[in-house]
Amino acid sequence: MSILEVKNLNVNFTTLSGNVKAVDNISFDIAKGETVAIVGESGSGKSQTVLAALGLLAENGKATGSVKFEGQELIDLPTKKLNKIRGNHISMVFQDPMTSLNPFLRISDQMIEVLTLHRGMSKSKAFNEAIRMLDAVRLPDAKQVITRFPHELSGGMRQRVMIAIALSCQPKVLIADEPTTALDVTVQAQMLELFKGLTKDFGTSLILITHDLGVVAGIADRMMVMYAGRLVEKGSVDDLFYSPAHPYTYGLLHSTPHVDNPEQRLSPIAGLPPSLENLPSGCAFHPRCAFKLDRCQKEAPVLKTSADGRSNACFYKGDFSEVGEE
Amino acid sequence: MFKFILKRLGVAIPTLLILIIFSFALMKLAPGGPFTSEKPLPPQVLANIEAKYGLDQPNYKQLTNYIVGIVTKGDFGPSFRYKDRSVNDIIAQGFPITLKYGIWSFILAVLVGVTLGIIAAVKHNSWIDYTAVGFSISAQVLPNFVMAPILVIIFTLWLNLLPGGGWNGGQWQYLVMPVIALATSYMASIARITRSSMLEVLNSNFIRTAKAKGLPNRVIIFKHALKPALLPVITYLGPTFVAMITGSVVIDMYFSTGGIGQMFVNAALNRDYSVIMGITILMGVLTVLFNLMVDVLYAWIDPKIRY
Amino acid sequence: MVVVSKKIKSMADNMASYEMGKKNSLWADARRRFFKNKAAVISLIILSLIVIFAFSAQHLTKWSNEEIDWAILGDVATMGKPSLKSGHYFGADPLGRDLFARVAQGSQISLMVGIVGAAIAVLVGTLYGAIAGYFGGRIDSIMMRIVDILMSIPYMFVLILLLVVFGRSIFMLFVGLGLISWLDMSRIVRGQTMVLKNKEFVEAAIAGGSNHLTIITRHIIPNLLGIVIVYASLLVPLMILTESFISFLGLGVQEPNTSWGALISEGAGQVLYGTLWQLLFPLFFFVTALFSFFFIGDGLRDALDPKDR
Repeated sequence: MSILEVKNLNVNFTTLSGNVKAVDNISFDIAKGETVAIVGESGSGKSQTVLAALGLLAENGKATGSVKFEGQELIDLPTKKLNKIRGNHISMVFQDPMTSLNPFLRISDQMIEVLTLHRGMSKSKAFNEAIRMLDAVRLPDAKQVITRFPHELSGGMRQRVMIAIALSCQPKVLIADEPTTALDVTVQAQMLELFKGLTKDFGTSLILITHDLGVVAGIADRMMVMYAGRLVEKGSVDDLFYSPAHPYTYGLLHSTPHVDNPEQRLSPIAGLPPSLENLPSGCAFHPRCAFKLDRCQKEAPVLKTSADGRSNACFYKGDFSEVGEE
Repeated sequence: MFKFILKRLGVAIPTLLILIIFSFALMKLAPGGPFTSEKPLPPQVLANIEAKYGLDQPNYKQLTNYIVGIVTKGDFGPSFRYKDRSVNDIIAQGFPITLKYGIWSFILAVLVGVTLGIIAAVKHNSWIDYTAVGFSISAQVLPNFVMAPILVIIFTLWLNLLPGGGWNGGQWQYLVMPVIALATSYMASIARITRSSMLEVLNSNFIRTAKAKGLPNRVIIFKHALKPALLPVITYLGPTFVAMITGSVVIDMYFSTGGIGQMFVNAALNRDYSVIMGITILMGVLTVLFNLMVDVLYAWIDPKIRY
Repeated sequence: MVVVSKKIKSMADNMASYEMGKKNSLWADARRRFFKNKAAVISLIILSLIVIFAFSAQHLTKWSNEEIDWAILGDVATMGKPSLKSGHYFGADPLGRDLFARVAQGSQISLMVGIVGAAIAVLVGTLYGAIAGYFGGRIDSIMMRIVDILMSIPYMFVLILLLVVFGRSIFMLFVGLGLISWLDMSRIVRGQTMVLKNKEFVEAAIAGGSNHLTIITRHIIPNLLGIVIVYASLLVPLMILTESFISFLGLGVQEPNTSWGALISEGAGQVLYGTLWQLLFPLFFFVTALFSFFFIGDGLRDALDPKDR
């Protein structure tokens, strides 16, 4: 049963240099309780996808298409109605804990307001609940921390506060945009454990945006790969990791160095991601693709779903070990 | 916080001393003394007068006496031009007037400016925004000496609603035009700063978080955005205050309100040095105090600055 | 000033990030963007027209700016109205002098004071700020502390003091104006110098063995040029405003010289007699010139820092 249904989502930005398409015709579903990772490089459109769903695009951005939460259409939903869902049933944790908290308000203020708003708690009850949430995200010394201002906390602590805020109303969907990128590795591991526990205990669906495949392997059930605003491959994590169907996915997997193979030479994907204002013709990936065919330059491949539930957008149907593999 | 204030005072006091010394030095450097522009006096009489005013003493002694007088008794000495009046008398006559319309102007400029700026920012790119920006730009070429006659043309000449000048004890009809004339250009620049600051804050990450929490717009603006947005505005209030003080000179001259600005210009033209110095120092003290208040306000709002 | 500082800082950051080799493209880009800005271009044209008017209008009229027209002296209010027939295109002032000629002369003075005053402020402020920012440390602390103290003094009072004490000459006016306005400029320049100082190309120059003077003249000053230009363009209207303010009080330029401020002052005082042209013509030039300078300044700033506002 899908809790979130995205159909033909497009996000366009009007800029001085013209129209920029950040998200190009994306469709996907999220089931209850599952963890889905959206993977891609910077500029691939992964953040804009979720921002569009929550009505958080910048002023010059416009989303078209459909994003349905439990059947309710979110795109162009009037703010008043959207606010009943945001922070309540769908929450988001942002990438940069340094700037995502209001430096002028105490942690307590920033946590209590969600509780009083969505769960109708009294201030004192909310205060205690907030401390309980901070404990739940394993923030040490919660009673002290809650009286502080954000600049008095470390990055890891701030991120936990953000997660605590996001979980306060027991959302059905939690969106985490690169939640661990700004943190160091040990903290990262703890975060992931935290997420895993939460999804298990509360049945929360988790949308995890990341460019770190290690994170994906750690907790995601399914994954989607985006490139230049387009969805290029979707499927279970196992399927994509062991038998990727798109050259980009393949490239990503193989550019990650392996811990147990220190002698291995790094094999990055040649070239740079395209500028969204100047996309290549046909398939956006073709200039960097080791497996490209003639038609890749002329036609853009469409995402096709196969019988086993996997989808990919590529004309090349062969094996990846044939070309370019060491 | 107390330490903060103390620190600030530590800078303020040398500033004032420098101001006093500088004004004093200027007086002494000026060609001619306070009594030489009248018909030439016989030397003996001149010497007597100078002795009476303590002008025969060495300069440094005059300076220290002067400073001591101010600090211990608040006494700025006698007027050099009006034999029976002290500087304090003159100041006491003009200061309340300037204070009255000055405060009203300041309040008007801040209230209208900030409100306009916030509305323009919240309704970005709407007709309200464009009007507000248009007004800000226009008002910046309407300094007080331009606004004043324009207001008089409209309200006195054409509409015959308000008196063209005078003070009459500060009745509201005599207050309206001076207050508006003085406030207008600052209203505009405060609106501009508020708007751009608010726009920047509204685009910040933490406001995005606030929206993601499902908070209503009102809460976002007043609880989350207002404080950070107002900080640059508060910083700007210091120079605004100084500018208004100097602007009051024009208001006094044009509307003949009789405030401290007018006293100053008269003293300047009459070479009444003690009055000139007294008023300058008074204005300096006010400026320093005001800047101190602004600094404290800023520190109070911004939790990152805590002394 | 605070608004200006923030935008200028972002613009300066933008400029400092252009590599040395690409400097030409910065100016070329900027010029392109400037000329795309309609308001700025129109303002430039209008300003040029005003300048042309200021310096050539004298030839268009038979009246000089000092001559009194005895014919209308007794009844300026009715006979001194602007008219093409009487030769008083802008009308006459309360003393019967031709307003057209006087406005032309006033425009000359106001523009010159504005530009020269701004130039002095820019020169002094830039040098002061660059030195403070470049050498840093104690020198910087002392120099900036002086600036802070000077800034908290209500300058207008000091200025009026100066003018009264030392006499009202154009020279004194320049000195006074210059004294006030270099402060803000020095702060901004100092800030930018500090940023530039820490950029890689300066490190490279030092590593290459250049001495301080070379570094300042060859690396730092060219990169400050952008900000200096923008700020100067904003200073000019400020100078004109300040001079007008002083002249309005009767402490500025002396007769028979006049400026916009003085003319506005005269006109403003006559308002209740209904001779509105005496106020409106100088006011028109004053306001238009200021608007133009502001738009040009805005245009320059947007051209050198193309961030979407």
